[in-house]
Amino acid sequence: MTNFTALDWSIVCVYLAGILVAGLYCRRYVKSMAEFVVAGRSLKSYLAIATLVGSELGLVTVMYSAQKGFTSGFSAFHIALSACILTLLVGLTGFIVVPLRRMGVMTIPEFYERRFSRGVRILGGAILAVSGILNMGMFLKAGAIFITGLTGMESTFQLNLVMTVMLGMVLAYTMLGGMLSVVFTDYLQFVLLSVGLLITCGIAVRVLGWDHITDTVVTLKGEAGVNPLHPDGGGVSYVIWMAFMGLFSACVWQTAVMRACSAASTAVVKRLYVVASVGFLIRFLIPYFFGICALVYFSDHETLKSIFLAEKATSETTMAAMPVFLSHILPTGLLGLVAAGMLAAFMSTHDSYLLCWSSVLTQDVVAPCIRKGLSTRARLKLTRAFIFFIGVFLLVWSLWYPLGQDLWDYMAITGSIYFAGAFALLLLGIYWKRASTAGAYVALVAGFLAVMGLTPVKSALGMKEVGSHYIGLSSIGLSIVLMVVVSLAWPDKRSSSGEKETA
Amino acid sequence: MMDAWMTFWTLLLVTGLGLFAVIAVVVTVGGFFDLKAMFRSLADRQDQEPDK
Repeated sequence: MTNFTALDWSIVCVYLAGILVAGLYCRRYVKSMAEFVVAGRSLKSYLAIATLVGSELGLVTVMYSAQKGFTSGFSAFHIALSACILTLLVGLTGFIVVPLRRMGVMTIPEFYERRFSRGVRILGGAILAVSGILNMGMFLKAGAIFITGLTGMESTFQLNLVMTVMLGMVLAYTMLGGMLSVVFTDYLQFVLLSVGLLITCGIAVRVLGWDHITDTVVTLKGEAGVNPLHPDGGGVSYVIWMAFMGLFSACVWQTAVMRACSAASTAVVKRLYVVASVGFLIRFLIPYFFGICALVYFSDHETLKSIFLAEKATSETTMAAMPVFLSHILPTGLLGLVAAGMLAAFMSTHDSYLLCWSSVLTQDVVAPCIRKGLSTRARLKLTRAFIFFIGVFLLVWSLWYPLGQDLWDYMAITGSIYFAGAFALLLLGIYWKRASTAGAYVALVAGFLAVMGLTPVKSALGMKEVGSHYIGLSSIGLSIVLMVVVSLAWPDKRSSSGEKETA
Repeated sequence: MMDAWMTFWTLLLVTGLGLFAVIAVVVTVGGFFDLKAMFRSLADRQDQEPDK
């Protein structure tokens, strides 16, 4: 029984209409590719933080994190802690992001070309786009489960209609306004979601009671529910894998790096990461907590317990736990505000990611292949076309792909298809002079092997029992080692002045 | 051992929520002024560079 009423629907509709108008308003300022992709590099500290946290605190983040909290209990908190510490370290040291901002690149593959070669840029751009598009492949499914759980909507037609309308709205304002729309809407979303999440936390604790929450988690999960090093709570290898994920999300993932590249100066970049480290902590911590609260709440209600805590509960069922829980504890009105914030978050992540992957395809895959070069007008048109086609692909993929694992683990492994190779190229390309083009090619290919961590691929290869995190960690290690070995064996040719010769 | 972990996670949650509440207020106010400044600067840039 959901508390979602007509009043909540009205709040959602008014808010979403406002967001659409705000996004479209930004169109008047878009004249160049730099304004479309990096908002004319005009973001100052506060706005950069709001937009970084806004785009990373999406509905999908909330969904997969809540699912992790629901399935793992408090031990999932280590992922939030790693993300916070590593983002803070990136901010304090400027690791990777400051050199990238200093170079003035718009995308990571652009760095590949400046440091290595055009071919590395094209290959790296293609791998990045494939990884990124697969990574957002489950967004629509997560959004659909959220809406179903929260509103109690049962008609498939209504559900599909809502999702299609939302995707249409995102496509419209991202295609027209680019990064300016994204920044503007991310800011609005940051404000609403911050308030909504904090209030919801308070209500959850008031309804369930803190002692009851902790006692129930220990009763249901045992030590694995609080100790991440316990084998059933993930174990040491999983903790290390998550630490890498925290580092990569901050300084290798293209959507985060785009914010660094959009910042007004390198000082802003550092400040952005230091402050955003708290945002990175919270974007996981609060949803984990909602998932934990859902676990406790369901364990007290027999009907819900038989559905959500059943032995054979599917990934889709555990993902629905958090929205169903919210629909039971939040009062009408507040439920509408939280729903509006979450749906805006859904659109905000979608617009950031659509813009990111489409501009990578344009700037780093298509444009470098055209000898004569592409005009700004052609690039804008091409980017908008990619946004549309990626949107269509996502609709098909989310309906077709059998998830078969926690959403977070799917996100981590699809991300690592790109992360593994990209980390080696960025780390060694920036900090090791002898890193060569041949080494870069090999590292990118080795990183792509992380695709074996996806459940259907593992099943096809007869590796179902191997944890995805082992495959991810192996591909990271392999990329770095191979890049070092191949760079030493096949160094770049240098002219007599010591400059690298380009092809 | 379990109690130590529980205490640690409780402290982390409380600290995180407290810090986030402060940052949310500061960033909301500061972001509003940054947003205004960004649109002003983009409008100025447009005035200087007419449509091609």
